[in-house]
Amino acid sequence: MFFSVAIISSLYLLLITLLMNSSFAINTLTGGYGLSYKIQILMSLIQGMWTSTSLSGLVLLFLIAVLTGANLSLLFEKIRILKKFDKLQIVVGGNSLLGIAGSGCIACGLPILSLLGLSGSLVYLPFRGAEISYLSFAFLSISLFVLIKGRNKLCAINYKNKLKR
Amino acid sequence: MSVEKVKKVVSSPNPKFNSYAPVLVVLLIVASFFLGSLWSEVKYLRAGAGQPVLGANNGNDAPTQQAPEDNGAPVKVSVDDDPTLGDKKAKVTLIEFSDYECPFCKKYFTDTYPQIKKDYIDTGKVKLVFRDLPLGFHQNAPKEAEAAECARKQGSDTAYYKYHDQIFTKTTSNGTGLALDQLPVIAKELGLNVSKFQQCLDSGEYKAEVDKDLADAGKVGASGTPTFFIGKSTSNGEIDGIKVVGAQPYSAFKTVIDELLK
Repeated sequence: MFFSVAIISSLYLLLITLLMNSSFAINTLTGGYGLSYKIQILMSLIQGMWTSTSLSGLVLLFLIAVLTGANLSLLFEKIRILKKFDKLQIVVGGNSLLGIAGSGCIACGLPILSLLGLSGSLVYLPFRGAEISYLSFAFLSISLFVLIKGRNKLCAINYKNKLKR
Repeated sequence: MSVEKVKKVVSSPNPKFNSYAPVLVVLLIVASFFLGSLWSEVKYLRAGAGQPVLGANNGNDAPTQQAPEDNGAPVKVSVDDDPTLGDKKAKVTLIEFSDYECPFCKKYFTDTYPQIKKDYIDTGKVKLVFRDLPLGFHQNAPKEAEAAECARKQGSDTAYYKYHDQIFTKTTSNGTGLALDQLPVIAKELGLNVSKFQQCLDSGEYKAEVDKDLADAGKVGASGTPTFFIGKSTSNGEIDGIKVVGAQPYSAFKTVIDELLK
């Protein structure tokens, strides 16, 4: 469980880092450069995550990454269990997407919202898009709580209703 | 006990809520977004600041050129008539779209710029071209950009970059990090003619120049600061620039520049 959380969280952070500089990342990965160049650039971009984001943004980003990892791990487990009952209810929040949307600094690299052409809209928000990250954190936390709560749910026998045998 | 009944009890204790929950969540998010947008817009309108739009045309009747897609392809960016630091015949050009009140621009200035200057600009390998991208919510940034241009008017590019260094050194980069009444003080410290400087600043002589840089930033896809375009220098001043966004570490710039210098 912890291993899957760590893997998913790391992949999430890597995705954010590359999204912040999507043009640069694509140019590096698809360009005719040597392997050492590509590795150096990717390492620099990962290092850049620390220099191009505020402390609060970084903390929020890591929290969202961990929550995303935990949510997805529990979700996959729940899907596996629910499949056995032939009733699959998936409530996958765009919560993690919200985290992607708001992570980082609006003025220094806009992740998914810039890809959607919505970067300018964040100018009107009081905290320039950081609210989206806080919302994401809140929803991911709620989602995690619900998933954990439901994880140890026992099969309840309802003695009030008469069950047909 | 029927199996179907057991399944019913175990799963979905409140099916109606589970059906509506995602919809409610999405509606809540959308509502929050518009509420926040409305609040900010009212704030801006009350302050009389107009519409804070990045890369705005600012009254220019010409249609806005659509920003290039972020697909990794180099972007054609012009050095325009903006100030140059370093050898004008340098093999590589580094164009920086920046905002004097942006904390990450200041971070780049403090942490990365000195190394780039020492290793590449002072050695004639790279020339830096600074272009303005004052963000709408950084109140003093446009005037600081104009002030630097006024300094350039008196002492050419050398004076510009000395003034540029002073602004970044003194500002706390929070939108109003450097009080506007300090702009003439910096001019005086640098030995410029203060009355000419003040006249230039008060007249808004370089407002159009700053606005043009802002519009050009939008055309090349620079939507935040700092944004860099690094490419081989050309005779007409238009480079095919690799776009690098944010206060990236020195190693990122070094790797790209070394590759271009090969």
